[in-house]
Amino acid sequence: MVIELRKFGTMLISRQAGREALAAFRPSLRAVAADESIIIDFAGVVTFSPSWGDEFLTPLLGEFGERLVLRKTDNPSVEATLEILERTDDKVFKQE
Amino acid sequence: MENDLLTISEAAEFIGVSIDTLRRWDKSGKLLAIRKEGGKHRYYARRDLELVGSDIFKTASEWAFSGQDIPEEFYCTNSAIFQQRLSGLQKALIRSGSEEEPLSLIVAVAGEIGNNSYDHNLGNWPDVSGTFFGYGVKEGEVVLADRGLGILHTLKKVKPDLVNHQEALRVAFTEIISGRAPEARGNGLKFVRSVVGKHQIGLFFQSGDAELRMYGKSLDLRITRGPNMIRGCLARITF
Repeated sequence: MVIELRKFGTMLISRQAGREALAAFRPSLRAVAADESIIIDFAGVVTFSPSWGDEFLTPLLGEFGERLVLRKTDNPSVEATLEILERTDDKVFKQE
Repeated sequence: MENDLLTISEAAEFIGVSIDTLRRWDKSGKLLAIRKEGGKHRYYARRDLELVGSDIFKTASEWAFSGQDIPEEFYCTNSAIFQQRLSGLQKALIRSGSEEEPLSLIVAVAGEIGNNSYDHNLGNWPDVSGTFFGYGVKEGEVVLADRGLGILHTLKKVKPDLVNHQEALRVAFTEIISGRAPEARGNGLKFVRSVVGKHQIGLFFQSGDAELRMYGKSLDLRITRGPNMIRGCLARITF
């Protein structure tokens, strides 16, 4: 399953918005097969931040572990966010 | 506490103009240098440098200090209004098309600082709720302020041993508090430091009487005790 983050907006900033995004998307996660990967696509996102990422990506990483795969991006706000989330959570995101 | 006066080359780096520009401003009176006991060398006070040419920062500083009315254009009564105006900043930066630093980082840094104000003060604002948010894309600045509880008060909930605002600012910008109990928050200002320190972005951040400055491509935090005590936080991002 591919989650296109641009469908949540081009500016993914606050904790509240991150929480709401995950809650809204959660029913779709039921369709994921036991061995299927969840691929996160950042294309089209302009600004990404640790607050939003911590509410959306951190729970998915906890639930799906290595099955959560992030698509490569050269967006500097995504790169900087992943760096701080990995340091805070002491976990590593798997990247394509 | 470090010396409050900067040499002309330090001052030029601090506000991102050339030494010649500072000499010109000194002659024209736009920004007068300080000379020690009639000497020839020019020195500058940090606060004078921060206030030069920034009406937005002056307005925010006065509000953070006194809590008097602020112009509606800068006042975000709630988080939804802040998000909307932050989106305006993102659009304005895209339109300008000439930013030296990636616009996404400037918006992300402003977003983390602004959202911190709402996340940590919701339901607990001591007097005025909401935040001050202003920016000038041409001037290369974003200014945020709140009259919330401030960093020391907020951090004391998880680190009761903190004794002053300077120490609280250092912890907020450097320490990842393990478990982040009792609330899932607390990495925003570490992110701000990491981004500002690696790019040509400057930062002034005040909470209580502690003033933090970052400039040049450096992760160094210059934290001093300033002359004014404010409630909440005041920040200026320059780029």
